[in-house]
Amino acid sequence: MVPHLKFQDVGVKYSLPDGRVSVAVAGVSVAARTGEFVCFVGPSGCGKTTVLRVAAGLLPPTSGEVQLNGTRISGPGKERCMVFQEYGLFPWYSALDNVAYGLRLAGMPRAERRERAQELLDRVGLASYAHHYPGELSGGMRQRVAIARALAVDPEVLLMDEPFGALDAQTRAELQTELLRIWAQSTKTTLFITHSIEEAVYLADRVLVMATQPGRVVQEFAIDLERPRDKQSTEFNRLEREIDACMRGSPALARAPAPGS
Amino acid sequence: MRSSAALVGMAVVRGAALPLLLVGVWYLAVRAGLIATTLLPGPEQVFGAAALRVFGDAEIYRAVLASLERIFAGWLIAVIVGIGVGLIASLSLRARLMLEGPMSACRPLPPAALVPLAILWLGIGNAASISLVAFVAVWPVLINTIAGIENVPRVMREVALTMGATTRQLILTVLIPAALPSIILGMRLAMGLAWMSVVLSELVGVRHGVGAMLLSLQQNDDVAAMLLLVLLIGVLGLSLDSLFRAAIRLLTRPHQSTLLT
Repeated sequence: MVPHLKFQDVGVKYSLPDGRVSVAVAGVSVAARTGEFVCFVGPSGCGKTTVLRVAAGLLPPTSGEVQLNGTRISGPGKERCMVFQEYGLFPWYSALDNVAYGLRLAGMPRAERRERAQELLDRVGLASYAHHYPGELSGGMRQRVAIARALAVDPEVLLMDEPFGALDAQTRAELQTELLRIWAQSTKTTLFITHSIEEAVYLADRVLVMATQPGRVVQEFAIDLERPRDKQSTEFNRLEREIDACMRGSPALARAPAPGS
Repeated sequence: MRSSAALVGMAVVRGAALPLLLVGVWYLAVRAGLIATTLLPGPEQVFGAAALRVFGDAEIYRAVLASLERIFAGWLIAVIVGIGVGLIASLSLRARLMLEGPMSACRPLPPAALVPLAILWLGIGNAASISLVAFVAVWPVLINTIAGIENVPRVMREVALTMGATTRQLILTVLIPAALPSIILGMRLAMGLAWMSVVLSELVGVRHGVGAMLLSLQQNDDVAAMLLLVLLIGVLGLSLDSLFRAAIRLLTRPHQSTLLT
């Protein structure tokens, strides 16, 4: 069976101004099933975002390739929608028009796309905020609008780059639960980046741990817990500890002198 | 809690305090014989006899109207050319590189140096005057268009791209709306420069216009009327800017108040 989204030995290098070459990620090979929820965790600079940008088609890989349904990705496309940590809402549009944006690009008539956008706002719990502007919404509400905007174009793959990273703990927990609810209804293949191990274990079917220098996937953990998951359960905490140990034990960190020794 | 009328009243008093004080000092200085009245007539003369003389003559109205026409024509050309060239320069690196040199060379040219050339090429009259206004006013529009588009957050462009936007859609739905506050600021600055340059351009040979009128008053040695006219030019420039701001306020929603900084 062809996996839905497949990274095949993906590497990204940058040429620095002084002529040296910096390796952002190397040899990333990952395959995601249709409807699978995959989380990438890792320290800053491990290339998590780079991996996602390659999948979005915003960054061409210098080696290897990413395939969607067996076809090589060569640029951005609305079947792979991305949700950004900074929301990226358009301040000159109301929440409703933000959500309708992708449908407008696709040429859907105004009345129809507004109706569809309203449905999506209902789904993310912002039914009564349709005519508010982003500047009038809280961070959590903005990210809900951004998620609704991505869902509106009905992508096959949802790429989420630390979407809850800028939110307070309570809002974050709320949005995690809501995202799972939405994901369960739509079964979109989801790649989700976070540096919170708890968030990864709570959300994902599979957690991929990344390490730095060069950025790469070092280990994967299947999370077979029933949803909704109890963040206090022994099993949950055991997985968190295992992943934490894996991140700490990654070679890049082991090479660094241990603090205080 | 003070009423809004009282607040407006206080603002008016505060705004008028310094001008009134200056007029007072001016009056006393002339009265005390510190300044020769042939160089600086007292305010009572400027706002009295000279005002009657100037505003009693139809020429002033014709002059203001003629100058306003030139300003608007020159400004409109500047806005169209500035936004057009600015768009091209921000979208194509090649165009940008080609434009950069000539632009940096032309921008610091003092308009006064161009007056003789404009007259030589375009003759005495409206064409020379309007071209000069347009030349002076185009720079803030151009530079603010380029800067505005350059400063569009990357995440907004990427949202559009991952939603399947074409280049044309990217320009129309993201780049121009996002750059609009900057472009409008450029248009406002251009309006101020248009005022400054129209007076200059009229100093050399147009029949009607505030600049031309200033010149003929100088030839008649009517210092009081000249002073009045200079003040009038200042007040008209200020009113034009206020009108511009009021128009922007009417055309934009409250949440877009960044347009008015």
